Amino acid sequence: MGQREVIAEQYLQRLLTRRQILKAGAAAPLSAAFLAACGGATTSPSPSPAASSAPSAAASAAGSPSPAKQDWSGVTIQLWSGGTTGPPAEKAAADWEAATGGKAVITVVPFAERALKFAGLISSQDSTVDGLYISGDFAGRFGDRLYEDLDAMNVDTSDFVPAILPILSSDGALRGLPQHSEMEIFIYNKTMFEAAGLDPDSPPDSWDALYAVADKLHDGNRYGCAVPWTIGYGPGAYYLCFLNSIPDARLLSDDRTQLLFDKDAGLQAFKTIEAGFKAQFFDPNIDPTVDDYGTGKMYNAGQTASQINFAELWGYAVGGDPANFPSTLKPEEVGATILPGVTAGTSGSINGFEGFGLNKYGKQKEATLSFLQYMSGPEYQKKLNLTKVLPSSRTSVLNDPEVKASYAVGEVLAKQGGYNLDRYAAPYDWTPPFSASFAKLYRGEIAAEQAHEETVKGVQDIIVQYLSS
Amino acid sequence: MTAPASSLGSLPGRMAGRLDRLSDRKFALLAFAPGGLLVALVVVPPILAVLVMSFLRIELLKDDDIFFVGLRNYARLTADPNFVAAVPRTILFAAGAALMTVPLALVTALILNRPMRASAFLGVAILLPWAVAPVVTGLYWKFIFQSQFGLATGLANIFGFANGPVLWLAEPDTAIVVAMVASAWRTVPLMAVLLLAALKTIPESLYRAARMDGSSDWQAFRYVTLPSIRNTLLVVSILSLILMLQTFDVLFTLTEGGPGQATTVIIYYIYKSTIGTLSFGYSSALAVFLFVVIALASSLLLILRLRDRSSGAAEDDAAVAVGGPVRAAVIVPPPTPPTEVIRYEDGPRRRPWRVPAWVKRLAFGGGLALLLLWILGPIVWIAITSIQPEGAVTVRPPALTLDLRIDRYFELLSRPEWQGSIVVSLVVTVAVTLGALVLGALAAYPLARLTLPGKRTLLTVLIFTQMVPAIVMAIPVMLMFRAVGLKDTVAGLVIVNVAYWLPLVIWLLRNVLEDVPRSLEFAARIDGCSRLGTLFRVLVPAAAPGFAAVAILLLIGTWNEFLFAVMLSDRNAVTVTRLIGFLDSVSGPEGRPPFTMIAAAGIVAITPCLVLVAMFHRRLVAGLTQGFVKG
Repeated sequence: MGQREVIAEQYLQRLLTRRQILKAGAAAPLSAAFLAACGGATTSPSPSPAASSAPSAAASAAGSPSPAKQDWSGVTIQLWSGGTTGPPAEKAAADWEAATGGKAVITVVPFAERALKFAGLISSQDSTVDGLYISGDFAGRFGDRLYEDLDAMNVDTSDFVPAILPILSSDGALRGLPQHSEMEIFIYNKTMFEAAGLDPDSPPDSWDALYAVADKLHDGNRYGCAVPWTIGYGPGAYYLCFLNSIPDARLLSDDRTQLLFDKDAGLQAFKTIEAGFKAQFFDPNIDPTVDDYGTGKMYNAGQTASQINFAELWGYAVGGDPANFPSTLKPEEVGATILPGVTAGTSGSINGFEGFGLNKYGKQKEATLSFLQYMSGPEYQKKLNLTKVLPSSRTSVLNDPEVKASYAVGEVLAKQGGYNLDRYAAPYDWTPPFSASFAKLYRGEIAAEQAHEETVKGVQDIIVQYLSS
Repeated sequence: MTAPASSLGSLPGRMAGRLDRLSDRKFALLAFAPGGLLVALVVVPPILAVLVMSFLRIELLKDDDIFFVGLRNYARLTADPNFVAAVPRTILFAAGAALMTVPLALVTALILNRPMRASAFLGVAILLPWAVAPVVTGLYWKFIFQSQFGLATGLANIFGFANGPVLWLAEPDTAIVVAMVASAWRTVPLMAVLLLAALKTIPESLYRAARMDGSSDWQAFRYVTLPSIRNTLLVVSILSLILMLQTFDVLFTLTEGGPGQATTVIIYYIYKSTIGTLSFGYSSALAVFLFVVIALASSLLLILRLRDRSSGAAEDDAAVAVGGPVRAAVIVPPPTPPTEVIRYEDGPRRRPWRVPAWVKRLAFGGGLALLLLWILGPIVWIAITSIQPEGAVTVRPPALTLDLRIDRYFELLSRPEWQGSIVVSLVVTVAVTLGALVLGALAAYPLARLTLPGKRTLLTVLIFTQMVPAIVMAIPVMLMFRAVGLKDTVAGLVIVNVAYWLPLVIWLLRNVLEDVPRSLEFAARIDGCSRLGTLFRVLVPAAAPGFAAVAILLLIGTWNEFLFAVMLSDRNAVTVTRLIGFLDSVSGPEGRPPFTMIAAAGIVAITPCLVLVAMFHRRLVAGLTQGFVKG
């Protein structure tokens, strides 16, 4: 490269700050002045560098043994929540307010708007919001661009369900505290399993063993196993339950720049799914667009011998919400265990963890962390588990005798949480190739080998496209 | 006419006098300034930002580094397989939806053009889909095409086309067709009104002549109607294409770009790129590309309109000579001489086969029924759903009962968030309408009445501001409003909506004002009325139907606005359209609310617009045709 090219390249690569860009636009200050005149506000709410970077103040709070006992009188924190996390967060806020004198305002941002709103937060480095909804998807997508590093705040995470920590982490740092530990498990009908010659209290731990009795579980009026979102809808799809159950067959590398399911183990997962279709354990006639709630209703109506679904739906099956989830089953007929594996003794599932992280641009980090610690702490987690269908994010609570007595599936969750539950959130959308090839596999148009090959190639192309951008 | 100088409204006489002494150019500048300034400060900077960003590398999900990359973002377009795949998909979607829209709009206009007893009802019915917010439209059609128990699924099962669930929205081929249907449903009314206006300009004498020559109805349609509205049909086709290229909200709630990428058209890909990956530089390049495509199509439209106008001058003269009501309806291209009829006369005379009257009546009745089913079906079905027990509409086929549950409406309206949002929406809607009308009238007046250099350029620039995809401007707008403390305020929503409506309002009002005879204005001025007095006391009342139509357009459009409502409001200024999204979402451990409740919300959200349309449909039709087609 000649000197001129080097200079040109340096010019092209020269970094521009936002301030420089704003200065360059003559219209922007005029606009700001005009709008300020209309609104009366003149101060910029942008955080100072100190506010947006150092978590020093919060770190001291994190180390305190009982955040609920701190005095936050006169402090109001703003949190943006998801739909499911909203009501429990409001209850936790009431407790926290009573204990600390602070005020936590929970605003539910609906699912469809969430990406839009969060993108706005990053763009504007908005400091008016202190706590933010987080899930594996959001942690993976927004990571350190939005969420504060909680590891730097010495948060004690030893009691959380193990799978939660890597999933709510990104770039090697924990980005949020879990409000609950929702995850997919295997929910089955004990009566139907017993009639099929299976031990109702100890069902098989591999898919092949279940396929072997598929003809007894499946008949004209009921399916062997119902699964939400059989095709499409990417991260919710069940193929991850298979891919995640094979050791060393992770979908993507931690930095999301490498595809890892292109070897034999990945192919084995595809073949296992295909075998399930062939055995009619997974019935292609099931509406593949049915969501988790729809699948739960099918199970409750006795239309399927088993389902892969979230623990929440186990709760509905044993009578958690008879108005919206009427059931023909008796609670004692409802069995739950960890998901079978591609090979016996393994398991894998997908998470539905949700929680809250700290907005890295927020101002009230200390108080917000206090609230988040209360919400994910043992006291409230036990309360949550005893009063709601949502499972606790703490192993100790899931194994607590009092919780176990009213929430039998807690132990299953604690065990399932020891396996891979990653949904592989990435700053790019890797799901379309999966959706396309699985739709064809599902319809019997292609075999597992071709589905695997097409998926690998499609995802590789997406990663290359992302890296080259 | 008497309008003494002492009664110049609220304007002090001295100030009015000063304004009157200004030259045309200075007065025009002063009158245009408030609206123009607002557009320049609120609309133009984000557009410029989009243009500038398209030359920068901005990847906010990766880092804060921003640097100049020249044309690399544009070069990336051709190397991006997702974009390359989105191009033919967009063409398919836009062309397919336009192909559905134009014939349906023509049939609708032909039916509406026939004098009949139910014309008033039809006039209301035809406009209803247009009054439904795009996000609610998506919701309606999603519900109708629900794979297990949607109405379409039920009907497909009843008529033997399917046996069990139908994956309308999960299969790529059907999903894009459903998206086209939903988009066409909302666009047909507007296009039908434009065609109706064109149909009304065809002199009855042409039909009489055709009948005297023995032509059948079909021949009259083929040789009189079609040639007369040929240009308008072309205009409507291009306009439909442009609207389809910009369709976002419907897809946002209906398919979310899926399944896979099956309905990810360019505008939706821009959304994914802007919001999903925060690639602002690249998404700006995408937006500029789409802007150029839309601008080219719009230029074609403008050329057609100019051609119509130049050829329409003679027609105007003829109309004036004829006098009477014809002039009032001269809106669309003048009827082309029906040369084909002449050819028909030259040919061998043959007695045309005539369809029996009863067959015609039957066909007309059937067509009308189908039309009403198409127009009103989705709204009526959602209304029925909203008052049925949940179990009655979530089975296949639906098992409707007389157990009506109107309590859902009371429950919704008793919720504080709904009450608050209705107030916010009302305040924003009324304030935007008033603000845009006043500022728009001030800016439109000199453009309509005075001879000014660069007038046409200014109008073109104004209308081109409407062609930049709003989704890519959402974040720059949000940043601006946040910087000045107007985010999450009602005032912020009012300002942004007024600013973004103004270019179109100025354009429409200028056409409306142009139609007021100049003699009225001269008379008022001779009687001592000031310029502003003439505008607000003479011209505006004289052009009241046009102003009313624009006002209704503003009321409905603002009530239904979604994108800026999402970006600019968090908690304190939540509008009703946003609450639909809140409801159509998992909202707690109990999961998704019942479909029937979502349906009730969908009806509540559109009720004010339906009422407006029902009350003012005549003015709306007259005004829309005046403003849109003539302009």
